[in-house]
Amino acid sequence: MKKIKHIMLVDDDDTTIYVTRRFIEKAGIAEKITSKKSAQEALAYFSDFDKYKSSPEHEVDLIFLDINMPVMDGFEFLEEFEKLIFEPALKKVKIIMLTSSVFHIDRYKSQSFPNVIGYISKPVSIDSLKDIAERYF
Amino acid sequence: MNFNSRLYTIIAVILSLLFIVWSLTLIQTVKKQRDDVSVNVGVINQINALNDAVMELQNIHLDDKYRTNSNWSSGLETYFKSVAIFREKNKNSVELSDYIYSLDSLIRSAVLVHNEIYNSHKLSEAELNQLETEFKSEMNEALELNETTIGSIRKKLSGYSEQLAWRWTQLNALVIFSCLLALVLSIVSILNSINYNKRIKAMTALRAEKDKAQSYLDMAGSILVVIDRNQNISMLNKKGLEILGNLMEEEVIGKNAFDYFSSPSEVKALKDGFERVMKGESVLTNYYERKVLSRTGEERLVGWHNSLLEDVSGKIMGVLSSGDDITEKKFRERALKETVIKLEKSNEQLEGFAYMATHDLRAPVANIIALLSLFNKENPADEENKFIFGKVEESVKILNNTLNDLIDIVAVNKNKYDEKVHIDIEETLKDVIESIKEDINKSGIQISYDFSGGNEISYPASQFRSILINMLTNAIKYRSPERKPTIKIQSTKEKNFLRLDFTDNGLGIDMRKYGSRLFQMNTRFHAGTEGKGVGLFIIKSQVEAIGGKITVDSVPGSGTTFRVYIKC
Repeated sequence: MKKIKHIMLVDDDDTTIYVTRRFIEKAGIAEKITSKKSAQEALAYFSDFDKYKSSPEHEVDLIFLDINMPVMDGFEFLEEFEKLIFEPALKKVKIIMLTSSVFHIDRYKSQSFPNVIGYISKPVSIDSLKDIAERYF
Repeated sequence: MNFNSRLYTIIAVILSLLFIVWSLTLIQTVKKQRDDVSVNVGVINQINALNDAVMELQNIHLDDKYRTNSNWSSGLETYFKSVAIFREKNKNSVELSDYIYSLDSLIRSAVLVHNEIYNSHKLSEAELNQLETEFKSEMNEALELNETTIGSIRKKLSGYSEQLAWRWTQLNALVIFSCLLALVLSIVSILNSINYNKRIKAMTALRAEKDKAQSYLDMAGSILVVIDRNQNISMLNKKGLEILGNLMEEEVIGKNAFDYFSSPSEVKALKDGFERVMKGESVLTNYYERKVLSRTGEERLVGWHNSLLEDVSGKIMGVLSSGDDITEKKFRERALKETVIKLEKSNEQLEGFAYMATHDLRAPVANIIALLSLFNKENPADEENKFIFGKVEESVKILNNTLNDLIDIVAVNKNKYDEKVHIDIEETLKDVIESIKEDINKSGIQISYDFSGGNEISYPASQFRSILINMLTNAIKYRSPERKPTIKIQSTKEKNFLRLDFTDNGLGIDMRKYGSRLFQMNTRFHAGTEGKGVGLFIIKSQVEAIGGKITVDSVPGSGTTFRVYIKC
């Protein structure tokens, strides 16, 4: 199985980050896993085009994005991120929502954004991770 | 009976009287004539009798002239008898008296001649002839006289019969005319009475219809009013009279509608508007709502539906308005609106609640599940297991806190009627400070207070403690790393509230951005802080449930002031 080069986790809860990271490791689908504790931080990371493009190391292939975060939530991030994807380097970044929200509307809402390829309810499972890796990468 | 009938009747009566008078006159005349006729016929007979007597004398004279006189005497006697009878019978008639005198004279002359003839013995042939001629001529004259007299009487009689015939014709004509008149009168009166009855019937029917219509108008639950061109009320039904303060119909009919059916401030505008509509300058408003002032001073709101009344030629005659008292309806609408707003708010709360319940419970549970699946069961001594267990503990704690918050929220609604007790603010504050001594010391926050504006309130004890704890812990939580944290608590009397101001010098909140979300569930404005932002939501619910309110002023980077209003 082909591994995803760089997965970024965006969640304000460090326990979630920990378990998601461990699951990805156990699934063995990624080469590199990074995390950001807030959407603002993640956005700042992608907004800095120069830095982003300066090294292939910085490129992100997949983001697992939480919805409920303080200051800037997942949807706000998506709105801002949408503005950035005119930059070709960012176009290929894929996003999967990873949330404990039960509301269908969140699912539908997320689907309306480009780059969003999926919506998973916490907790993630090893099988679903493997499935993602196979399907999209 | 109408005018024409009267005229005809008068004419008919006059004609009838004329006819009657005429008829009576005719009848009398005719009667008189008939008497006259029979009298004259009698006279003729008498004259004939006389004539016979005279002729008899003549014959006797001719037969008897040289022999005896006895027949002549009896004849003469007969004659004289007849004359006497005639005279007696006709003594009142001048003509007949003249006639009989004339006749008698002639006969007497003839008798004298006769006597001379018969009494003189020595008469010459010539003298005899002369006397005979005299006698003859007298007698002939007498006979002629009779003839003439009879003739003239007969003439008169024939004149009479002509007159009689004419008078009979007149009478017949009168009778016919009278009959016709009677017929005409009867027909006219029959027609009149039919007409009259018809009109009575029609009027009765009309009256019944009018009463029915009136009863419909009065049964109607709506006000019905007709306003004529001159702004006067030409019809107002019972409901309308009621709403004006149970006025009587006579009081309002003919009066200006707007003086009655509007509040004083609107009268002029309404009158002007009406005039414009009457002139055709503006269009009548189909529906509007206006206040109506009753005589008792009561104000009701009425919704009016208006339509123009036009005559057959299209000229505007007035306005028909039907009005409904919507005072209660408007009140209920307003109450309903308020209820809807309350419900919407409540719904918002519930949604937030639902969101929190699902998400904030789900998240730690999801983590616990994931952590447990990462737990190395084969090798319990795995180093990672310790870490994992620690994380499980953390998640359980979060879960527990969330549960408590949820319970608190539910409890707010249930415990709205927590008993108010007398509270010494300073004492309570000191108590609270003692209970969170550790957090206070750790943060190094300086607490100052001034309760000179008011230190006593009546409030549910636990709720007030909640407020103080929340305010202090928020100030501690959102303190600025750039300066020494302080919080000042001050009380001020404001109208019928005691206002508690909690002013800190912490991070501050961008009110423009987050102001509306400040008191909602599940919102945090600063990263890296504990808790899920439920405290303010609960506090606000509790304060408002008791009739107070909370407001916030804040300058990002400078500090925040929470103002809690407590009713006193």
